[in-house]
Amino acid sequence: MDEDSQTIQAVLAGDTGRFRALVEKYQGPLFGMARHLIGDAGEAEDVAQEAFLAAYANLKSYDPARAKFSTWLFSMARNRCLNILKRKRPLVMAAVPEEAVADTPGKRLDTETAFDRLDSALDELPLEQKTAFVLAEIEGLSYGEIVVIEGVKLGTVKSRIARAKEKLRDSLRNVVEQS
Amino acid sequence: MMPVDDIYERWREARADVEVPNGFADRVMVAVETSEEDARDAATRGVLALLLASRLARVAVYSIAGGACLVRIGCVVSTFIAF
Repeated sequence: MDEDSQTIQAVLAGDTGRFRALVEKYQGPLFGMARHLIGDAGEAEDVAQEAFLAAYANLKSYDPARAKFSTWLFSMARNRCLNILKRKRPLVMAAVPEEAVADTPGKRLDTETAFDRLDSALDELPLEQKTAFVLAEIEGLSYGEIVVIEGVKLGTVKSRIARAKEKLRDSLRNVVEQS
Repeated sequence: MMPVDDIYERWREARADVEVPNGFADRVMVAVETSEEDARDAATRGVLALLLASRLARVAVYSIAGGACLVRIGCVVSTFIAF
């Protein structure tokens, strides 16, 4: 039995305080995922907290044979993020917009500008690509975990991540070449 | 000029390092404890509501209460009656 399963058994046996170990273990990546998907830190915190509370409330129904606890937890948080994003903007976005060259000719590209450009490009990605990319490239989840979280095939996950990376690199390449 | 891949990797690493708001775990645990108390209160209310929903249960409760009242009155009166 892994560490998370042991903690869950203890919580189910009545030791509620042990749930804190799970919170402290996954708060970083969970909040990070919500923050990158939603953008707003306050809403991201709400999503992360709601996901932990939902996990606690449904701990009895959690089946370790179906998925790891982290995968189950991320699924709940991801669904909440998508609900928020769907309320805010259309599901399918256009291609990453080309920005006009506003920099002084010959000016060297600085890190902050490059990072801002990548942040914008990430925000402009279609939701499916964005979530897959954030889970894999920023939160470091395995493709197997992402397959469970997203509920799609492995090939679809790989395709979404590859397209997202290509768009981000193209966006950055445009800025680099223009600098 | 910085290569694209280098910038991309540095950006990716920077974005992976997100700081969790102070006291987040504490707030979650407070909410967990509150949900536990709410669940216990709801269970208690549920049992009472279930009991009082039944006519037989209400008759039984009222009978026991009435009997206890009579016993108590009898005890008080008996203190004034000389044997």
